[in-house]
Amino acid sequence: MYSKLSNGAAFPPIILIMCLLPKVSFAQQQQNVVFQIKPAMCVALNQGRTCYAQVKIQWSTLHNDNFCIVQKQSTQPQKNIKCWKNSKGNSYSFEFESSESLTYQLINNNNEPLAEATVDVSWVHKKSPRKRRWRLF
Amino acid sequence: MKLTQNLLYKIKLTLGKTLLVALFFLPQLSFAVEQQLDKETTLFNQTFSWQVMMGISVYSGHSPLKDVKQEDIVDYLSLSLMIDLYYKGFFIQSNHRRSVAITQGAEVGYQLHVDNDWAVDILAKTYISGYDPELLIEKKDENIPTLEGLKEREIGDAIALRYSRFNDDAIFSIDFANLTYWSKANGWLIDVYYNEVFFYKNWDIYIGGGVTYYSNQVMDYYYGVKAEDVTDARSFYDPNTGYKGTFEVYAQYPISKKWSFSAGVTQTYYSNTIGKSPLIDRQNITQFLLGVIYVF
Repeated sequence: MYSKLSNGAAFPPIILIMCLLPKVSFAQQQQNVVFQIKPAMCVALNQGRTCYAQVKIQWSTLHNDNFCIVQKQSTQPQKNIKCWKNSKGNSYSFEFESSESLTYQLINNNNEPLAEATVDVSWVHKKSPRKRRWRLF
Repeated sequence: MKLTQNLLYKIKLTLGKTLLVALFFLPQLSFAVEQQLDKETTLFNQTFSWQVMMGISVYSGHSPLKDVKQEDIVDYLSLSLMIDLYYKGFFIQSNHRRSVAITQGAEVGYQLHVDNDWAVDILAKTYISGYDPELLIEKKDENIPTLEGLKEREIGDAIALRYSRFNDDAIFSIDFANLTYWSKANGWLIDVYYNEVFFYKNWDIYIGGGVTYYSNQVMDYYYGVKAEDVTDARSFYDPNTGYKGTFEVYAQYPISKKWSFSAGVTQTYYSNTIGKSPLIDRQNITQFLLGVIYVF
C-alpha cells in the first residue's frame, strides 16, 4: 500500500524534472558564468556628448573553451572586442567611447550569448532644446 | 560672531541678487521644481527650461584692496546658488563658462532678438563686487588704515544691453551697462568678453578673456578718495576712466549624475588709474578656484 502510493506519487515529479533538465542545465551554465563590467555607468557633462571611461570586464566559466566579448549597439552591427582560445576566465580593459549606452556579451564558440552587461551613459546637464543658447544648460 | 557676520556678508554678495531676481520668477520656478525629472515643462503650450545648481568652492588669491588678506577659513570658501530658467524669452542665467559664476550671482534678462549666430538681450546683472570697509576691518585683528572710516562700496548692479555672437564652441559678447538706476556707483561700463570651449575626454575646458571699461563715475565710487575721506593713510584721489582685463582657464569634469568638479585660474590686470588708487594694493592678481557643483 505504502509502496504503491509511493511509486505512483514519485513518477510525475521525475517526468517533470526530465522535461526541465535542458533548461536547468542551461540555467546552471548561466549561473556558473561570472561576467562583471566596471564601471557600469559613464557620466558625461552634457547629454549627447561622447562619454569616455576606462572599462574593465572580468569573466569566468567552469570549463575551457573559446570565448569572445562582443559589443552590441542598436544602430550598428555586433562588434568583436576581444577573443580568447581555450580559456575559462580572463579580464580585459579598454577605453569606452560612446554617447549612448552599450551592451557587452560573452559568447562561446557557437556564438551563443552566455552573459551580458551594460555600460549606461548618463549626463549631468540635459541637452537644451533651444539652439545656440550656450549659456543655459 | 565675526565669522558669522563675514559669512553673511559673503552670502549677500554672492546670492543676494540671484535670490531677488528668482522671486520674479517664483510662480514658474515653484512649478518647475516640482518637475525635477524632466527639467523642461510645457504649460499652456509654453516650454519652461530650468536648472538649479549649488556650488561650493575654495578659492585662493589676493584681494586688490590694500591689507585685505585671506585669513579665516571662510575667506577661502564660497557657497553659491546658480539658477538657470528660461520662459518665453525671459531668462535667469549664470555664465557656466566662467569660474566667477560660482562666486557671483546670476543675470536676469529678456531676449530682444535671437538669430542663428547672434542675439541681443536686455539684462540686469551685478558687474562689480562691492565691499564693506567696516566689516573687513572688524573681521581682522589689526586695523586697515586705508579702509578705516570709509563708507561701504555697494555692489555694482546695472541694466545692460548685450550683443552676442556665437557658434557651437565659442561666444563673443559686448555689454553696454548703465549703473545709474540700480547702483550708487552711477556711471556706465562696457564689458567685452570672449570664450571658447575645448573638449578633452569628459572634460570641458573653457579658455576666455575680457576687458571691462569703467566710466569716471564708476571709478570715483570704487577707487576714488573724496576730500572728506582723506586721512594720513589715504590721500585724495580723483581717477579718470579705467579698465580691468581678465584671462581665464576654467574646467569642469563630471563626477556623477548630480555632481561635477570645477577648477579655474583667473589672471586679472587693473589699469594704472586703478592701480594708483590709495585703496588698491596691486595691479596684477591671480586667483585659483577648486569646487564642486551639485545639480538639482
